[in-house]
Amino acid sequence: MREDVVLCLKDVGFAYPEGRQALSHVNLTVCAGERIAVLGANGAGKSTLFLLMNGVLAPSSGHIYYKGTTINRRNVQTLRKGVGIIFQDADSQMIAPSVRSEISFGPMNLKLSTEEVAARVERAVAYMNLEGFEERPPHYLSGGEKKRVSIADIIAMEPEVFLFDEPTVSLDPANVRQLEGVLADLAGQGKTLLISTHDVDFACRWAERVLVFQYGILRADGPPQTVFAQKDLCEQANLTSPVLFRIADMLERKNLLREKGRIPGTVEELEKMLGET
Amino acid sequence: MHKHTHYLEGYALASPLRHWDPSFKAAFSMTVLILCLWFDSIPVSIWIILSMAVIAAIWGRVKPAEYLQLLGIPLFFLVFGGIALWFVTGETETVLHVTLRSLGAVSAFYFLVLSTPVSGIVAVLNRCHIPGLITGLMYLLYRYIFILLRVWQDMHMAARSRLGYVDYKTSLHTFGAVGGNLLAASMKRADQCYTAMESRCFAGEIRFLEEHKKCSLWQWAFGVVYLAGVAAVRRLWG
Amino acid sequence: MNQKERRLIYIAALPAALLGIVPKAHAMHIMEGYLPAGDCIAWGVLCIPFLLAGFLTIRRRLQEDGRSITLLAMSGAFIFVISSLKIPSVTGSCSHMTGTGLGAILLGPLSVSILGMIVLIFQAILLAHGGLTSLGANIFSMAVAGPVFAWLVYGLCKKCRMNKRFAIFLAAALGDLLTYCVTSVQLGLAFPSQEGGAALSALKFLGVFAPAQLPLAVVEGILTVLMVIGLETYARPELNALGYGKEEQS
Repeated sequence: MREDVVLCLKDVGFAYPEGRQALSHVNLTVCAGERIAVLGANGAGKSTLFLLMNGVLAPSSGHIYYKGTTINRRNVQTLRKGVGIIFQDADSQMIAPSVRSEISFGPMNLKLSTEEVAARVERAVAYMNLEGFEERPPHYLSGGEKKRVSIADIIAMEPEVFLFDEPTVSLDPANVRQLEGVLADLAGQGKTLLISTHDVDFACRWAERVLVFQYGILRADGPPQTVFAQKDLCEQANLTSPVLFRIADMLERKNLLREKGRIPGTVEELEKMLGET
Repeated sequence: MHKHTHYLEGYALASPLRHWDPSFKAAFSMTVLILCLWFDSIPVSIWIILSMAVIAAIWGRVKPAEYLQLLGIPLFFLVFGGIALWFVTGETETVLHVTLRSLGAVSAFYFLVLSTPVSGIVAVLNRCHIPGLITGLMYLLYRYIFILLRVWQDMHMAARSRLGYVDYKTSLHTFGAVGGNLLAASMKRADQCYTAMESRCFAGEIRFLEEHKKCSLWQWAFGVVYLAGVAAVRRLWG
Repeated sequence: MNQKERRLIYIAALPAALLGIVPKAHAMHIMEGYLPAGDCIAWGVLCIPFLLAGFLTIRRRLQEDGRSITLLAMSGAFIFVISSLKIPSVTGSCSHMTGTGLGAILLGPLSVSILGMIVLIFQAILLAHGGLTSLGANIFSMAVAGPVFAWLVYGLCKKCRMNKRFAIFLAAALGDLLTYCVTSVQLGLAFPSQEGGAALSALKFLGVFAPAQLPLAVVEGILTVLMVIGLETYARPELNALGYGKEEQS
C-alpha cells in the first residue's frame, strides 16, 4: 500500500437491517490530499459510503483500513477521530444551546484538556468567521450560519479527512462561494476532501477525481474528464453531463474548436480551445 | 431570526447582565424567591416587585412597557386564579396576599430568567451535580424544541393552505393529524441526530466546554445589600 | 357578603365559564409563589421517589440502547411543543393539550416523569408558565399522577380487550382529568376553607375548573388517539423502538 493512503475499502458491502443492500463490492483507495467528488442518484449509496468511512456503520462484508490499520469494533474511534462528516442537514447535527458549546462538543469527546478544547474552539470560530456568534443558540442562526457552525464543529476535531454530504443544497450563491473558499483552504492544508453532490458542474470544476455510484456499486473512478466522457455510464447513473462538456461537444460538432478531442475542465480552458475565428 | 422573541430567552440573550456568573444569579434569585415565600408578607412582596422592576429597567435595560407586558403573563393567570380562589375562600385579603406574593416570586424569578440564557441555566445545574444524564436530556430537548417548532410551522401552513382549519370538526382532525405527523417525523429525525452525534465520537456523555464567568465583588455587594433591604422591609413593615 | 350572595355569584359565573371566558389555558400549571413554602417543599419531596424511579428507568434504557437518548429527548420536545400549541376551539378560548397522557402510553409513566419535569422547567424558563417553587406540585400533578393514571387505565383497558383506540382515548382523557383533580387537591390543601377544611376547598376548586377541564379532557383524548394513529401509519419502526410496538406483538 502506498504510504500516503489514508483510507482503503476492500470489497466492502453493507446491508441495512431491513434487508436493503446499500453497497456491494466497493474497492476504493483514498490518498492524502485528494479532492474527490462522489456522484450518484438518491439511494445510490453515497451517504452509506460516508457513514462507513466515518465508522458510524460497520461493513457487512469486506474491510476498511485507516492509514494501514484494519478498522474493527475496538478501534473504530480512531476512524471517527480521523474522518469527519459534515451532514447535509445542519439542524440535525447541532445539539448544543450555543455556538461555542456546539463547536466544543467534538473536541470534548476526544478527551482533550480544557485549554486545548478552548484553543481549538477559538481557532475554528475564527476560521469560519463566527466571531460574535459564540453565545447564540442555533435557532437564532440563519441557514448559512448554521452550515458554518456545523463545519466549524468538525474543523475543531482536526480530522485528516473531511466528508461533505451534499454541502451546497439549501445554500444561497454567496454561501456556496464561501464554502468553496473553505474547501480551497482545507485542500491547501493538505486535508483529504470527499464531497457527495448532484452538482456535476461543481464536481467538474473542483474535483480531481470523481466516483460514480449506481445501486450501491462503484461504476466509475477517475478524473472528471475521463468519467464524464463515458456518456452511456453517465446516462445509466442518471447524471447530467456538465455544461462545459455539452458546450465543448456542441462547438466541436460545429467545427469551432481549434483543439479537438480534449475535454475542458474550466471556462478558461474552453476559451483556449476556441482559438481565433 | 427574531421569531422566538416571545420566549423569555430573547431578553436573556440581549441582557447586559448575561456576563454575570450564572451561579451567582441563580443563587441570588432563588434566595429572594424563597424569602418572598418564607416571609409571606405584603410589604415584602411589593418591595420585591418594585425593586426587581427597577433593576430590570436600569441594569437589565428592559423597556418598562415590555417589562409590564412580561409581568402580564403571570398576571393573566393570577387574575383568573384569584377569581377562583375568591369563590372558594371568600377572603379578599387572602387573594390579594397570594397574588402579590406570586408576583413578587415571579419578579425574583425574572431576574434570573431575563438575564441568563438557557445554556447558562443548565450549566448551573451541572455545577450543582445534577446527573449528566438529566442535563444531557435537557440540552437535547431544548435544541429539539426549535427544530419541531419549525417543522410544525411548515406542516401547519401546508394544512392551512388545504383548508384544514375551515371549521371546528375539520380543525380538530387536522390538528391531530399534524400532531401525529410531527411526532412521526420527529422520531425519524431522532435517529439522524444520534448518527450525527456518534460521528463526532459521542460515547454516552454530553459535555460541552464550561465557561467560567467571574463574580466580581460589586455583584456580591449588590446581593448582600439587596437581601439586607428585603430583611429591613420585613422588620419595619411586617 | 353572606353565603347566599356568594352562592348566587358563583352560580352566575358558571355560564360565563362555560362560554370559555375563563380560559384554563396551559393545562393546570400552578403559578410561581402561589403555594406557601411548606407546600412547595412537601410536594417536591413527594415527587422524589417517582423521579428517582424515572431516572433509573431511563438510565437502564440508555444502557440497553444508547440511541434512545435522542428518541427520549425528541418525545420530550414534542410534549413541550404540543402543549404550547392552541387547540382549535369553538369559543375562541385558549386551550392546550398536556401531551403527558400520550407520553405515558408510548414511553411508560416513569420515563415520562423525568421528561415531564424537564418540560415543566423549560415551560417556566421560556414561557413563565408555572414556576420553580411550584415545580414540585406541578411535577406531581402533571408528570407523575396524570401519566401514571393514564398508563394504568390503558393497561386495564387492554386487559379487558377493549378496542385499542378507545383505550387510548380513555387513558388520555382520564389522565388529564386526574391531573386537574390533583391540582384542585393541591390548591385545596394550600387554601383550606374555614368551614370544611382542605376537602371542601378542593371540592370547590374542582367545581370552578370543571366546566373548562371536562371538555378539555375529552378533546385531549380525541387528539391523542389521532396522534397515535398518525404515528402508527408513518413511523412503525420508531414506534417499536420506543417499546410501544413490542407490547402489541407480545
